[in-house]
Amino acid sequence: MPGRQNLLRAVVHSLAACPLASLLWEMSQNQLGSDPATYLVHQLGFWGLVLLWCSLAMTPLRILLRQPLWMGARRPLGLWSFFYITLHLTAFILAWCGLDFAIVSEEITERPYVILGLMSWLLMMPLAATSTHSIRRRMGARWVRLHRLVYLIAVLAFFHFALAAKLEYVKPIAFGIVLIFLFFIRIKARQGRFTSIKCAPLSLRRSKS
Amino acid sequence: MQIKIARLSDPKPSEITPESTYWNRRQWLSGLGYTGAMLALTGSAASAQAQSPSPWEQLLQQKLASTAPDPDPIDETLTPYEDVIRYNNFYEFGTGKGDPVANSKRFKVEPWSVRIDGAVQKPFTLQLEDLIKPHALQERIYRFRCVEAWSMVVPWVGFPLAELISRCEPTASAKYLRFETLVDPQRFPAQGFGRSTIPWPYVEGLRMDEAQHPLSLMVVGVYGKVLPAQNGAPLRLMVPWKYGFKSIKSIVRISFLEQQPPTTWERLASQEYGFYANVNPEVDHPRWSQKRERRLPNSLFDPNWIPTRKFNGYENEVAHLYAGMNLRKLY
Repeated sequence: MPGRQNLLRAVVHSLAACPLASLLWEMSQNQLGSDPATYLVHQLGFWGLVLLWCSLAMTPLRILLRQPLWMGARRPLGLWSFFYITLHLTAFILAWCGLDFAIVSEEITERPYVILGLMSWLLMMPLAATSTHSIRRRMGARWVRLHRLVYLIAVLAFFHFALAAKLEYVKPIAFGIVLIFLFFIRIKARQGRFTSIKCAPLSLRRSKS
Repeated sequence: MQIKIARLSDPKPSEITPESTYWNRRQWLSGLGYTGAMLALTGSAASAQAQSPSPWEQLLQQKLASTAPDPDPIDETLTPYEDVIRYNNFYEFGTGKGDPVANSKRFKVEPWSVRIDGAVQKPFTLQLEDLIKPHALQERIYRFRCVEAWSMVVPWVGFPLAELISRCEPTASAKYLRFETLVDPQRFPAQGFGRSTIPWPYVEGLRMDEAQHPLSLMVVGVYGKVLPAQNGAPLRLMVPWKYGFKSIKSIVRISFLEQQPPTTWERLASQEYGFYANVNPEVDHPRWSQKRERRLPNSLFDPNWIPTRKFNGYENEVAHLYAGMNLRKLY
């Protein structure tokens, strides 16, 4: 079991690093296109969102596949997502706004989708800060409650993404459908569907640990 | 009120063509030499076709060679050709900025004709060759401001829309023009089933006096070359004081109307995109600022933000068209 767990983590880390490696390569080759900052900000945000969705998919995967192994990937995926979103925000301020604080403050105060995105990132901070095993053990049930913030984070992130798009609705709709599906499985699991020893509701399992 | 076109007869020699444009022409000519050599070496059907350009293309090449320089070029750095042809919004090829250049490789202009109808003496159809034949081509270096808050400076080649309008013989009742882009999923892959993002055909419109303004240009070339597919081949509109989406690409139909036509973006989101769509830093798009623009080229280290100017800097030329209108309401 620990061997498979480590293998899964290694796969997660290498896959999650790929988009960043690709962006760095494109950057070094001057291949970011005609408006490189916009491209960089969009790519970092997109992959941060994908990884957040992946981390949210681990519990439903465990429930559907009756395989607890997946839970080992949840933490690295969440942290990678936070890392990409932090880079997304950094690139937005440094490269897109050009570190012009008049532009930064106007964007943050006047653009609804920027406010939503920023709120989402701010809410991710306490989750990232309490992600270590020792803090989690010490916090116990409070950790579970705190980390339920991820649902709010995902909803904020979704609207940030959907509102920022001009007309590109295919991706926002796809992200929306996946999110609703993931929430649906959790709700059904809580209502007692899919029950088995392996697939007891998450909160019960967590509170024992 | 100064109408710039009136100075056409007397340009200062130093103003005729910016050096960068001149050098780009040279590069292009040497590029043509290479292309010719390449085509001579390969014997494929595709290259055979390219070796013998159609009458339309031959005519256009001839005309491009004797393009009149911009009589009054603006003193701003040109956006490089490479950026002009690879950073495009053209949803018929896909919604990404790089989709048009990637998905237009197999685009063929011919067959192409433009239907003229509505309030005209007699509706008719113009084959491409006949359409461009009577017009002398001119270079116009225009600012190009996208509603998404990026901008370019582009040396277009074309002829005044007013010349085409007079050939169409509109009747006295014609108050508006309606333009339509080609619908053909063979040539525009993103118009195919399941890939469409907006309803086709793409439709744009102008008021008659806007269309007849000397700045309104029918574009057939850019940087001295034939207009590439991703930029709206073979024929596109350019109204430089309006947001880019007004300058409809790949036109196949021009209708003269008594009433203001509903346009594509207006129908999709009338709160965000109006019929007039004049560049206006005082009226923000509901979701982003129009106060400034990212002038391309830029870099990761400098986004090159510049203030957006009213009517995209063409206020002296076009403001009179909108005298007395509330541009906050009629955005």
